[in-house]
Amino acid sequence: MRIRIPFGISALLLLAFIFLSLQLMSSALQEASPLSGMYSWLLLSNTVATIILLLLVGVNAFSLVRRLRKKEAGSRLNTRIVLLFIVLSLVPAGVVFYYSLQFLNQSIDGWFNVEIDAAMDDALELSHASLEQRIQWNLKQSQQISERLNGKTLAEVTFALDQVRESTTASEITLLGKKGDIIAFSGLIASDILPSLSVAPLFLQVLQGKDHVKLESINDELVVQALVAIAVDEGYYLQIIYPIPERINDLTDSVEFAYVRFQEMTYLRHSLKVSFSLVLSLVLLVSLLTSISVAFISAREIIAPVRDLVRGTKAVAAGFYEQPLPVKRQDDLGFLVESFNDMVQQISLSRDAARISSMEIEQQRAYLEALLSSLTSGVLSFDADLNIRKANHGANIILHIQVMRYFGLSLSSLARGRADLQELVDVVQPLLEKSDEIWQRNIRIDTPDGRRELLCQGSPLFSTEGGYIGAVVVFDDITDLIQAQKNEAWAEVARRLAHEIKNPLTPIQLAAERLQHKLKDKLGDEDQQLLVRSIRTIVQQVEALKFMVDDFSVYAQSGRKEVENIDLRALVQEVASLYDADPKLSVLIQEERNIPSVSADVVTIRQVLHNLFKNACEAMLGAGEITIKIQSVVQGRANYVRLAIYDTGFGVDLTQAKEIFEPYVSHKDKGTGLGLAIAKKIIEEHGGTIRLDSQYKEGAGFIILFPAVMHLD
Amino acid sequence: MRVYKSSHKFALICFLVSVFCLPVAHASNDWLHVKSMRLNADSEKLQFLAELDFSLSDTARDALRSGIVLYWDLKVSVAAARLIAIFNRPIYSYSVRYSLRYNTLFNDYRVRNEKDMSFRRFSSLIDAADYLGVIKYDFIALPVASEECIIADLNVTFDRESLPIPLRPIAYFDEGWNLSTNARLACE
Repeated sequence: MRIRIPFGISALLLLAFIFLSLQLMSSALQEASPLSGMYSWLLLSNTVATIILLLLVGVNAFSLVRRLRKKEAGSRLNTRIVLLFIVLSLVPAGVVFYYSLQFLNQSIDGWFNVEIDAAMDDALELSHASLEQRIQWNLKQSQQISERLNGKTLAEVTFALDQVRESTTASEITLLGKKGDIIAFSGLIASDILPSLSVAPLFLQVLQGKDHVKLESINDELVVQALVAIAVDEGYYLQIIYPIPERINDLTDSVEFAYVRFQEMTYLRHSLKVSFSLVLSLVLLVSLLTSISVAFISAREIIAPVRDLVRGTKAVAAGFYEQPLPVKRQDDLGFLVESFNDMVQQISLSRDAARISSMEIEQQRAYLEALLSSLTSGVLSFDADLNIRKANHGANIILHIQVMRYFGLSLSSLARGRADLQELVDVVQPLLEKSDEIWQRNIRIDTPDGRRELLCQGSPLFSTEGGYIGAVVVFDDITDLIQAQKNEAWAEVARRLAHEIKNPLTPIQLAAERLQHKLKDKLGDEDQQLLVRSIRTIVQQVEALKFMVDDFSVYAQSGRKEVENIDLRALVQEVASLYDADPKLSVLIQEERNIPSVSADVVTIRQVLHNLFKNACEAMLGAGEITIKIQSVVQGRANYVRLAIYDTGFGVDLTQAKEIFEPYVSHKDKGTGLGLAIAKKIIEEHGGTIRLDSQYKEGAGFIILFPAVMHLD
Repeated sequence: MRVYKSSHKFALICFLVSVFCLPVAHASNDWLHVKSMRLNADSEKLQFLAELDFSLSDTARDALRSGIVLYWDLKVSVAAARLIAIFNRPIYSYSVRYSLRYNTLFNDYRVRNEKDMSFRRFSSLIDAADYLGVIKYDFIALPVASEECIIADLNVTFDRESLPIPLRPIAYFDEGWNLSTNARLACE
């Protein structure tokens, strides 16, 4: 776990330490202070603490510069605040520092002016002169004593010492021998038996015949030590100690102390300046660092809500509205944060409402989409510029084109890839451009499934304000409906034919045959032959009429009979084997494995196959090749069995291909025109489709699709 | 706040470097030299003899002439050496504090033993320095085995902290105040 000490606390602790240390150092500057011994350590600790504080501030400044370069939120405002603090503190502190330094230097220099220096020298010289005068007077006094004792015996001198001492200001008189040995001593204090000062350092000088006098100190008291010779016997010496009067002693001490102190202060003049400047600089530096630290801390406090706001703004921009910003203060920035929170809450509520609304719209749209997709009718919508905006799945199915590829394009662009849609475009485009009324048209288009009949209805679209916003075209493939209507009509015709025509045919045939039988023997040969030919013609035409009526009967029959799952491949092979027996015909079957079965009436399907084979044989004039392909295919989402029959006959004229499955349409001399119509009717009754393969050019080709029966495993 | 952690480390390193480098930078002694050291041992006593070149820098001379008192701490320690230095067996240790001052009234230099407050007066600084430069101590030693190795350390330390306060910080940076020396007499 990482323990982090915030900059604010660190800086404040350091500052507290530095200020305490500075205070102690200020006290330590007094020589008499008990802290004076700690001055250097206090200075060092102050310096070190200041350096640490400087480093902390430096690191913060570096961090701020880095954030500034990264263009972090609030960094510029932070920098401005810090710079403002620095300028506001640096200018007055710098001015105070400068003038304090000037004042300090001038004050220190003022202590040591020439007059004081000269006065101190004069005072010392005066002190020396005064003492010198005293010394010379004491020497003279000593010489007078020596003269008084000259010529006396040693005993007389010894006994006279006390008297001599008492008659003068001397405190001690010592009689010394030639070798400096003490012969007699007289002192103020009776208990003293030895002189206070040793004569050894001076004795050699006296031996040379010179009197000696010198200033000495005994127990910090100034005395004059005089050493003179006396003419007694072989020669003796006197050491006389004269005390300096107390007043002179004190004055001398005072002058000396002041002089030494002044000399010391003079010597320390530069050091004093450096020392005070150092302390002053330290105080300035600490003051500056304090203000900078306060600047950093304050700026951080001020910037914190701004940074929170930026963070909140980014969160809102990223779509997070749930976390409100903490309101830490009750000032203007706190109010700003509160307002921001309110605004975000409002945005959040609006967003939720918009989301719900959007979801509802989306549900509506999905519902409409599903509705349109489930419609078998094709729907095309256009914008105000008549560009395709939307289309449903039904449109794709009916037009056999992915309309979504043409979204944003005009209707005419549909015909660029599909020429067979040109007729649709030619009809619909002008109607759309009118854009003021509802219209309805029947349009025929050619599709890969054959010619289709469309019932188109168009309507302009207007906004709630009444402005034109586009159009919608709905079209239905009514081919099957028309076909069913036609089939129904033809079935009615067939039923009427069967009823109105077939019934009289048998009496006609019987009557003709009876007429031939009655008149056969009554007519001549020539008339008889005419009769036979006429009756034969009647009977043949009646048979033909019967055959035609039977075909119509079959066509008129509706519904399947015996529906079961059959193997279409086996059925095809069975029918094909009958035709393959003819040496002039060649039947080729191409089939895939695993062809699913189909649900169908085997009798009617066999009839369809026979019709198709028979047509093929007739088209090939009895000789040629019939190719059959059986495949399993998937169209849309449904599985089919695809049966294709191709012959090498004269084929089908494409101009007539549109009506080839219509009843009573035949291109053969003897055909009733019902074969393909019946086949188509039977296949459609089984849910399948039959169409002419227009791509096949070597003859006629028909493609049949049967719904496959899929077994669930 | 990672930057603060690194800054603390950096500040700590700077502090330690400054603390440890300052004394090292001024540990050299330019003015005082130990010219010779000798340790005479007999059955009854040990005698320590050392001779120092007790020169004073111009800075120190000026300060002395201006009435500033200079202090030295002198320490002599004798020990029987062991394989590891911290286990050396102390035999004898002696320390004394001397002061040197100039007396304006008498125009002489006084060396005072701050331990017993005795002083000696010298008419010249050279005499006073010569006096301070001769170190001689006789002491009754603890029993020392003949095979033991005796080492003697002499430390003469100038006391900067006894200088007047304004002079103290400067004394740590001015080489003229490097008035300390030390030496060791190792066994042969």
